[in-house]
Amino acid sequence: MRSCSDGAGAVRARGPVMALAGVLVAAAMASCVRARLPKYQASDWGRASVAEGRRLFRAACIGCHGEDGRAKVPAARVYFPRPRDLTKGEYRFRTTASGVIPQRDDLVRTIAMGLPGTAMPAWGEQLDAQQLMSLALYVETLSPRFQDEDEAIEDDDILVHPGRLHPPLSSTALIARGRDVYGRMKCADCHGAHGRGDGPSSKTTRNQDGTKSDVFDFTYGEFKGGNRAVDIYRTFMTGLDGTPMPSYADSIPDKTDRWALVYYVMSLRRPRGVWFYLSQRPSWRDPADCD
Amino acid sequence: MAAVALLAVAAGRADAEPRFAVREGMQCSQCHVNRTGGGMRTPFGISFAQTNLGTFRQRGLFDPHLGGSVTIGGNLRLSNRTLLPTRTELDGVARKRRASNSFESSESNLYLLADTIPGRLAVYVDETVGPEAAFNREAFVLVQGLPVDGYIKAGHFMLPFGLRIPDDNAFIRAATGFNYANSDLGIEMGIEHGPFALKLAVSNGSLGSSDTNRSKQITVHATAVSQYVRGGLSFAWNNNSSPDFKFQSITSGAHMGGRLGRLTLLGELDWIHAITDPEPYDQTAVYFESNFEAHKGVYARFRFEAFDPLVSLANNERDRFVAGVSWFPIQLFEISAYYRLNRDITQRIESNADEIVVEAHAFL
Repeated sequence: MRSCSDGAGAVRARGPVMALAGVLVAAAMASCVRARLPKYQASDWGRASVAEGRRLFRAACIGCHGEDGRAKVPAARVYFPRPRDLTKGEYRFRTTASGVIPQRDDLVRTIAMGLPGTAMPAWGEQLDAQQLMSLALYVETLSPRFQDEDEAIEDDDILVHPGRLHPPLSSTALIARGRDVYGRMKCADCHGAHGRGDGPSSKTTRNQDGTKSDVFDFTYGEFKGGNRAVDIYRTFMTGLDGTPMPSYADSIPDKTDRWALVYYVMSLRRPRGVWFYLSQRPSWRDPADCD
Repeated sequence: MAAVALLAVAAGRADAEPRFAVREGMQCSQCHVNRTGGGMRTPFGISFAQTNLGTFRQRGLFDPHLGGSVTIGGNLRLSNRTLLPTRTELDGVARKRRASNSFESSESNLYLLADTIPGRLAVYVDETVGPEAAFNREAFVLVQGLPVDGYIKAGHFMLPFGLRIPDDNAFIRAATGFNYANSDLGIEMGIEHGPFALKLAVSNGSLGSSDTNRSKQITVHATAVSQYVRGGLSFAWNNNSSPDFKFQSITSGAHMGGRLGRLTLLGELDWIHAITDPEPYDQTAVYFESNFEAHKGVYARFRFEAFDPLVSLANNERDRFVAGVSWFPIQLFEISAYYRLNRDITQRIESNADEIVVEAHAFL
């Protein structure tokens, strides 16, 4: 995991060269620090407005999602994964159960933090909390699911309360336990024995819309839903709607097992060499994992 | 000579960035309202510029909508150019040119787009507002949303030919005449379907001034774009003859581009055949550019150009090597610095002088 807290410390180093290096490191980390989740309270939603969200949507989002949110734009043909059709109201990164619409906070999180490894940028670097909330409100208006009373979120539908999660400290024993869970849950069928996304089913899995599923390579380590343990925990609990990735909320009832699996897949991340640096486009890897 | 140098500087406007189109595997129209590239950015283009091109993204979002269906945009470039001292020797006689330094505002453009019928009909104006006299670069009506993603453009516009690289001084743009300084009056039709685009323009062929002859210029441009490579062919025929002056030109070109990880490559080869009195002549121009994205918003750039102004004559070629860095420290702002090594025939001392250019570029 990258840390965002080391940048300023180097300035204390002796000598002008080290001080300069520290300034450069701090400057480089500055963009990382800005990618934090916006802080707001439930009462702040009253200040957000659909009209403001619509204006922001036109300014920032229609290039990929289209004026009507259907993503019927040329960019959709180029980018992989394709920009989401917002009229379907189907979202992968949620705190709610599979098949349930996301909470507004989930939408704010995705808009603010972006989806690393995709074309979805982290708008939290440029927009404040009220603007992000307004955008989330407007995005809700694009899909009838959010207006349908039958689709309303009930208490039981919320599987993850990020504020109430208390991840245990990672340990060798916990990672070893996670490896057992990984095998028991047959994660290797899709993600492969070493987590490279090359399991036997990876070549045939399809998303619900018929497109080929992009099975995640854990060694890459840039999770679209965020790189923190709580982000990965959330994905395991809720699954990724529209993809073959199921929810493990029922399959892994033991909380320690859940965290063990989280830390095991995090341990699969591998350092990258020169070839990886040369073959990647940095623009698509916004730093969305700062906490 | 000074006038020639001044003209070359004044013509050095820059706009579109095909390196990004090649890098992302997109048509020019993805980021620019003008389907042939350059000028005002589309909603996607302005979002892309605000999120993908800044090393340290700053808070705040530029909203190009003035309200309703009217949007604005602009480009501003300020540069400092140092011509280094040079010395040539001809027939044993040494010639020297002293160093010079100057600030230049090579581009100050404002764009206005009225989507009168969204997705169908738009009116677009690209106006140069400085640094000297204001003049119109483009003003056209755009009808789009036709079958096969077709469109029709009528008015004053830049003709579709080759890569719309951001340097009118480049040989491929200066020699062919297809650059930001040479808009023309006419009509353009095109289709963009999937990875393919075909554009046909019929224009006066008189570089935007009133037409004085009976024929027209025909320009055809075809491209195929994929995620990693692109290629295209361009052709133009222009009969600009008058009763007392015979001049016809046939210009054809091929361009390619490709991406390999952080490295983006662009290239174009143009051939110009001019039919004029007393005898026809041929010219060729070559362009190669590489861009290496070292970090988000930081690009190391290298460029090679060659121009043969008279193919039938040996040893008269001109070459340029350009190496430099382009940095987008924050969104919508670019600083670039490069060294340009110029090589020309000995008689032309001005175009043998190497240059160091530092440029600031703000856009919206």
